[in-house]
Amino acid sequence: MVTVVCGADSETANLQGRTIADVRNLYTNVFNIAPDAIAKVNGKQVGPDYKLQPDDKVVFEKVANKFRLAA
Amino acid sequence: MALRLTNPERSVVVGVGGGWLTPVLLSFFNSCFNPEAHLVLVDGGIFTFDQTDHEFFFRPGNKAKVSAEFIRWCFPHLSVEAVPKYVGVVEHDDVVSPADIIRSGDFVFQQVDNARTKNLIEAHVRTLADITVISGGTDRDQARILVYLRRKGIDITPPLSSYCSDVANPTDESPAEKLKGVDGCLEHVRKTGDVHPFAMLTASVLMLDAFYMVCRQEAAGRLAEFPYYELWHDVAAGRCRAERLPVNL
Repeated sequence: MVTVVCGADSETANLQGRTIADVRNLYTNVFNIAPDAIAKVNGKQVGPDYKLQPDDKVVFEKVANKFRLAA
Repeated sequence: MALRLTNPERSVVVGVGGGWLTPVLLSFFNSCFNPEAHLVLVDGGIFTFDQTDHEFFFRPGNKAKVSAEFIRWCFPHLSVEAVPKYVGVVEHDDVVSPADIIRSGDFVFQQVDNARTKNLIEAHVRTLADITVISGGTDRDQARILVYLRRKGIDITPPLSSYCSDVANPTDESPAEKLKGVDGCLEHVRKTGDVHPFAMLTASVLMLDAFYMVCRQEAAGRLAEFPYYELWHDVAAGRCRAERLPVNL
């Protein structure tokens, strides 16, 4: 099982063997992943071709940098 | 059982603006539990009445000064200081360096809009023996806070740069440059309609929650067990997610 995280959203699913690009496509709308969000697996930045291993934790880094209405 | 809390001597709020509620809530807390505390408000920005869609200041003027004035009126027995400058590299009269406003032992409430300032603040606070940095921000409907704890020169929670790429390698502008050409926030609401006006207020409350937890855990000698270092709250979906340190078994 692989855990996918973006901001307040998190899900654990059977995604081992899938690439980061696949997972990004799967979760873009559901988790509102920004097009330029960096993908990190177990804390290290990875590219779109990285294949997920069992127990990997993928974080699509969301920047909540604003203390104002504009995102 | 009586409530036991540590009493931070000095709190520094960096960036008041959209986080205008934070100093008010903190002063409310201090007036009750820590009346000897000294509060420093730091912001170079100017409030005008066309910003009332997301900020509250009772009159136009420098945000740090006006906020300090309001707090002194509400809580006249508290000690409040205004630094009407941006935090950054000292190149202008309206910019102050982190080392000039943040000391060892301080509790810092970081509410700035740019990663470069966060990077500068982190570079400074990591040289201090004792520091608490609670950083808050929003992204549309989601509020996020980050908690950096350091005691006797040892990190208890990770520094922000270890998991925030934008803080580790900032690419945005310095405070003075950044705040010059920003669209009015009401323009953004009109364009997208996808913002939640209470996300910022939620971020303020979450920051104060974390502050309270630090005071309580530290008084109990259990700061190493602080429950999270990153907290997300989706105000629209009603979801929360916390990142916690691994448990040492």
